[in-house]
Amino acid sequence: MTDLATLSACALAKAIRDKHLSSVEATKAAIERLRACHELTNCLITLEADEALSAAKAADAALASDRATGALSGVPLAHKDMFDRKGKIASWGAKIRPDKPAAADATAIARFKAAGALQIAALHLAEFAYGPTGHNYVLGHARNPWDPTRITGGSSAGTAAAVAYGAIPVGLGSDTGGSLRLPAACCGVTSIKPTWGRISRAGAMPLSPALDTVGVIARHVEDLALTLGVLAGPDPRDPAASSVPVPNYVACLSDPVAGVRVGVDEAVIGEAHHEVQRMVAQVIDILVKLGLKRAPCRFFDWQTLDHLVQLVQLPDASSAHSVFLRTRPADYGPQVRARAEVGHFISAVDHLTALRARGLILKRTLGETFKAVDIAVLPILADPLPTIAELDVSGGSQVQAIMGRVVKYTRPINYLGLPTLTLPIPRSGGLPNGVQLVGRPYAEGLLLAIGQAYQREVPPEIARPLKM
Amino acid sequence: MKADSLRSAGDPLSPSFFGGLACAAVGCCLRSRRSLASLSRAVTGTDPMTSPTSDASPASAEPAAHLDMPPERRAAAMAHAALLAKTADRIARELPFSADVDDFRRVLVEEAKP
Repeated sequence: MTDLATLSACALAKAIRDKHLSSVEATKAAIERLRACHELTNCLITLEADEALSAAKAADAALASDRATGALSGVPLAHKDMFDRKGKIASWGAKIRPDKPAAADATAIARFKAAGALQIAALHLAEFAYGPTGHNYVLGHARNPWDPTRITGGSSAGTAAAVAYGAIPVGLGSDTGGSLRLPAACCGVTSIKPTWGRISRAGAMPLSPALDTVGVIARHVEDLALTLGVLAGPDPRDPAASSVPVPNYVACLSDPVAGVRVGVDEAVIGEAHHEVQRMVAQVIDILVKLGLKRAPCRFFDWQTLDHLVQLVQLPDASSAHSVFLRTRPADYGPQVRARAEVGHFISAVDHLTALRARGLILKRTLGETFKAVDIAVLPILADPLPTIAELDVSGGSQVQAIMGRVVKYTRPINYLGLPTLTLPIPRSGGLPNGVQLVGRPYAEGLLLAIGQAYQREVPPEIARPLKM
Repeated sequence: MKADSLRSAGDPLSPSFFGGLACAAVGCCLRSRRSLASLSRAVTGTDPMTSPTSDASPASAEPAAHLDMPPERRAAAMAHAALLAKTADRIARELPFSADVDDFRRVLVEEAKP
């Protein structure tokens, strides 16, 4: 019998639709795996087993009477615990939480529901989604399913751990400075951080609205395509949600990739650990084997981009937290408190300068960096997968510098708002890591086509602790 | 490309590119005001939009004096902000006067056109 843990959401949906498997069976198995994954990784905040099984029974009944037509009918999924769900209080991974249950589902949750998916668990995240490593001094740290002494990456830590373990095929997350890409890379799975505004943020806990991007983590690229198609599109509840037409991303998966020009910025990549540089080279070799053409490219001064994104993010986050920092400072974990304070020292003028420059720098990037290439490849982590202890810096004065190293390759891309696809490296028995492919705005279809071709060479894996 | 080449490399965006921008962010601003009011009510029982006694930051020469921070962390935060301010200043000197926060969305939308 097929191990349900290995199935993609697409395959699971088909098996349920074709009545080879019931939604109840799929959900019971997912609940069991989530519990086991939680023991290993601390991935769960809330497991809603009874509610999930009731929803699964309803899904089976709808399927039996041909009333269920959604692309994800009866498929059990889970989400980072920062999305509103009607009648529930999201934890935000923190002691400080909304003061009353949500009046409505977040748009992303509602769209998953409309497609027939079940939300069976709320998953671990960094406190207020403000941490790139999976450390959480309120909930306890998340642990990597490949090696529980190592970080999961964050902030969508539980989502990546649960997906990598095979507990769920796909999970919902968000990315303000790397929060989809870092955990996907650390746990050896894929993610899509779409173009800023491609998916509505309505009902998602804000961290830095100018940068916040909702996205998904999955083992199979085909699931990224399916779920992005479900989630993307305009939304009257989020004025920043783009009205650019949503293509059929699943159809894009079979687009040819031969001849696509992949840009390599040697100078920027050269700032990573030599082992990470080797991993990036290995992925580029695979892309070239698939027919992509390697070409040089050069990003706008990387350190300047990194400073600009901080000038946007730090005051945004400080503003969101300013009241609670004043009234309930002891309810913050030390790291988030230290980081949330910094934005108070940045002037409004500097913040606005970074925002005013953003369009110009994006235009320059598209006109120069992407002038002769279709996508660019970059590391995600600058270093090999760190241990939890190595990055347990709490709220010390070095927190900006150390966290800055973790997000070195991810947060500048948020300033540009560009879509990125995470590809896990070929592990060859070692620890996971990943690289990101960066595309032009709304080039998600191209990224997914490349990812689909890549997974023919580097198939998805189920994470289990390595015997080191 | 270095930031200081913003001007010297030749600006592909003419000043008119930045002209006549609609304020698409009005709805967002309104939403933020409502959120702030709601948050403040939840925490303090007052609405900063309407309350004459809404709390202003304590007058002090030191920024963020109201935050309870140990001196070492305050110094580190100020040093970090000062570092970023240098970049902001450098970029500001190169920006067209008409540069606008909405340019970013405008470039994204233009890029989506066939």
